[in-house]
Amino acid sequence: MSIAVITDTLASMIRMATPLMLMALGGLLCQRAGVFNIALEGFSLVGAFAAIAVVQFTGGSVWAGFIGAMVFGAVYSSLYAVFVTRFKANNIIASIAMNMLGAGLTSYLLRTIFDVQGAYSPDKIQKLDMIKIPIIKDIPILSCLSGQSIVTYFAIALVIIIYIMLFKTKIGLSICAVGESEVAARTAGIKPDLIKWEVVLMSGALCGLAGAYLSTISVSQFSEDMIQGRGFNAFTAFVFGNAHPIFAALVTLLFGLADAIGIRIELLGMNVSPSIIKMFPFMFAIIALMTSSYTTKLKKLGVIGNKKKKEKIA
Amino acid sequence: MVKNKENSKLLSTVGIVGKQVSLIVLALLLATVFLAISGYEPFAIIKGIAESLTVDIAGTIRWATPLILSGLAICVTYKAEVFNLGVDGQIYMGAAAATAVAVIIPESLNQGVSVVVVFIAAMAAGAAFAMIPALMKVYLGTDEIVSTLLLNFVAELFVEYLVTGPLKSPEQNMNMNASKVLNENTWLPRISFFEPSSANIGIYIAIILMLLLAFLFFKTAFGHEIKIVGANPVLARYAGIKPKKTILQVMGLSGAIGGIVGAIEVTAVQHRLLAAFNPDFGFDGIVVSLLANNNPIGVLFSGTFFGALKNGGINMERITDVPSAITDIVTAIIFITISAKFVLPKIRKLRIKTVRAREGGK
Repeated sequence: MSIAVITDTLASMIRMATPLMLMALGGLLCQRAGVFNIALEGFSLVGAFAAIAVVQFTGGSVWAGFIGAMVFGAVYSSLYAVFVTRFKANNIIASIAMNMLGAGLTSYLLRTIFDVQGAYSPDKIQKLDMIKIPIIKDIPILSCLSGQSIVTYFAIALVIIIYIMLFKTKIGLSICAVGESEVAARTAGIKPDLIKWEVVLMSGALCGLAGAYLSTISVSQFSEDMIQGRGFNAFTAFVFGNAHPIFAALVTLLFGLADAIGIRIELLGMNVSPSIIKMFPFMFAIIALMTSSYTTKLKKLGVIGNKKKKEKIA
Repeated sequence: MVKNKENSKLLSTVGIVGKQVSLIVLALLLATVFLAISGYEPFAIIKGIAESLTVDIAGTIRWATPLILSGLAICVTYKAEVFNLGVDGQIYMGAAAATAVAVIIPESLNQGVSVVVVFIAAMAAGAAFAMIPALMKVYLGTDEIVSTLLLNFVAELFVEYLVTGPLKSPEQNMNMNASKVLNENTWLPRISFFEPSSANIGIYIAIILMLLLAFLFFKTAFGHEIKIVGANPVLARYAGIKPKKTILQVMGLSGAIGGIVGAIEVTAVQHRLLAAFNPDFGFDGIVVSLLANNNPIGVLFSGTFFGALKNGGINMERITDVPSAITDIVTAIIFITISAKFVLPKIRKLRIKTVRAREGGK
């Protein structure tokens, strides 16, 4: 393989990983606060739709699309937050319902607002220029980092910001405290419901942005099945990454690589069915899930790792 | 004391049914408001349901069959506190196996025998596919929620692969991904009374299965074991029940039921394997089961309701311009409001505790 091919594959890995990274960051915040959030899929779908709708109504502004997607993602996630905090809903059921509602709502609005079925592309869209980083863009292989969209760099910055927030600030400490033990957190003067609201809204906004990335940068249209399980992959990514922002982000890169290799195989014209190629990230996710659960099990049994007792909070 | 208990049981059943009905009414009201705001005919969805339950029962049966079966598939595992969110994947795998077997069966074979063979293959495939997350859960401690969700995509893509590759229809100029039409001797008969609708005798399978499961749950030791494993795995182990074995059993059973759904869709409704033929019956099955409070007998009713809802939505889209996605919204609203019910028992427990504490204080 030539260096150009490797660079190209790595660049597409980063492109494919960006939305996963954003979703995983949102998801892991929830996980840290003890909210089981597999509604990432639905939040992102709403974000993707909101982005395209806002782009259409502002005459093609992708920036407005981003903001709209984050706002609507957060607004949509607030419904989940209400059910999780106020009504103490079963997180799993509520989040599956949010996925379903997201699919129904976007499909309904697609018909109602744009009068189309399946997919919609806005009349005009001012595509953002990819950002070329000087110096790096001339280094072989590393140049895959250059020429990405602004969202990618934002996502990478966010990984570090959320890392600092989680482990070095008071807010992060409160989030982890709520996840560890709600009763203890309450005793310490933290309001668990408030924290849960915060993390769910953050995940909504981040997933919204991820959706906007998919609908305005990856392609220039919204289609009903555009998230295609990425939310679940992102979930697996942060589970595998132990809900640690940096590890989770690295895992999303691996998922991106699985996607990128698929694209590469397709480009090379190897005789592999595209359906099989599309399975790669899911297969990878399942293997990741097995590995992470097995290591957790071993840790719990005290076979590997430090024997610090981790009590599971149900 | 005993009478009191019976009374409270009756009361709680009435209470549960009342609550579920009020959830449905709430969801339909919200949907009506939704339709009114978007400028469609506000009562379209209610009319659709009414028509589905009166004029167009055939359509309702067509949709209720897979929904009831999916609901049963969910309620089997739910009792054991296992979330099988992979019924969709098991449906796909069942359909794939049914088709693969059906294309091999010679045209001369007796219809009864071939249908049974096809269904056994589908059940085996569904159960085998459900074994993957079950074994992962039992031996590796993998959370079945995420693994089943991921496996759904694998199964859907696998069917897509089959109908674009090995099982692709030899017909030319076909712009859909599908297998060839199956031989008539492998078709599950439709109910002739409802011709030309695709309402089929799968509904009888669903009802028989419902009765079998109700018997299993309420009258056998196995049903009791499932409940104990769900309620308290530690206690179950003390009682000599192996929770791992029970988990494998319920997942296998659930997968087999999923396989039946796939086989019915292929052999009675479509008569061929289509890519992405399954409109998320598995997820709808969760709502069907939850609305029935995970009771097999209740699943029959809630499945029929959702069948009528789905059929009504589709009819309305055909007649008026109301998008059928509104039915998904109604389903999702019922889904999410149902999830909130888990607060009630807790409050009650808390109240009992506080009352007891107060009495103890006296």
